Amino acid sequence: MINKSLINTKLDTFDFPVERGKIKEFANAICDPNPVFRDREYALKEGFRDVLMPITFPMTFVFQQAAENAVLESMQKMGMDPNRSVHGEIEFIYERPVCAGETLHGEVWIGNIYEKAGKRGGSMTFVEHETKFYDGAGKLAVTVRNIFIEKG
Amino acid sequence: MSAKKYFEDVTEDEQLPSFQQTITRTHIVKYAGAGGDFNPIHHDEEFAKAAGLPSVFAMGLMHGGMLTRVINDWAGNGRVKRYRVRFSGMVWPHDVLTFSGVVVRKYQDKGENLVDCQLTVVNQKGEQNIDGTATVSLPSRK
Repeated sequence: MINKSLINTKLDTFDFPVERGKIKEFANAICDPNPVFRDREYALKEGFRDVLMPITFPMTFVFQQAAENAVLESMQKMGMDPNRSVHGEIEFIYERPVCAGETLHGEVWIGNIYEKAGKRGGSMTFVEHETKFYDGAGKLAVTVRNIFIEKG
Repeated sequence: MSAKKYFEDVTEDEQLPSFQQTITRTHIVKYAGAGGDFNPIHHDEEFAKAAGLPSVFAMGLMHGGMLTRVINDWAGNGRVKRYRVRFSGMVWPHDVLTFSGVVVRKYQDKGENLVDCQLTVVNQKGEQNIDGTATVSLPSRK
């Protein structure tokens, strides 16, 4: 049973160091040859302070969480059944570009939890899972908004 | 920041550069290591089959990450304000994925030059795996 008392509650906080080596590994994994993710000199010429963080890189925040499988643990905390649940969508919202060398502070929140009728009958429960990344000055840099869907 | 694309040069319905990738289990494993998704359903063949699947399948964020090249290469580095992907179909090893995009709207908001794009990932059967949107902020020639 999905735990609706978690609506608008903070699940977790963590620090997220944005690291050059990890960015390069990630860029290789998403098959993006862009030197801005690998070559510091190139990134500086492009006007950045260091190599640029790829758009979906914030998802590697899971490495900073205590749990072995942070996403699964989040779902379990919410009372979701992983066998009936899917990752519906994810959105990355950038206030500004982020580069290697920064350490961001992350907060994981549950937003709204709501039901919708399924196309083939039954109902689906939607869970909004949001992670906000703040910089050293306390300003919001990136927001990652997930929607998880549990089929009834 | 240097300019790859100026706002004035964008036309609605403009096609973004597209590319193809044949997906392998090695891609899945590399992304698991880089991205931190160790759900066995993506890399453990026995686990996936026991769950009733024909094989392992790729985590959405893998090809969701690969798709970012379409918007990033077109707009230039550091220009993306929003990037959203909806996972609409599963990706299996040996799938040949086409990553592409198109400009949907150009407009100004609070003094910023913004362009909305529709992004998509389809497989060799024409089935859509990802339905995505992105908004970029572009410099002006002026």
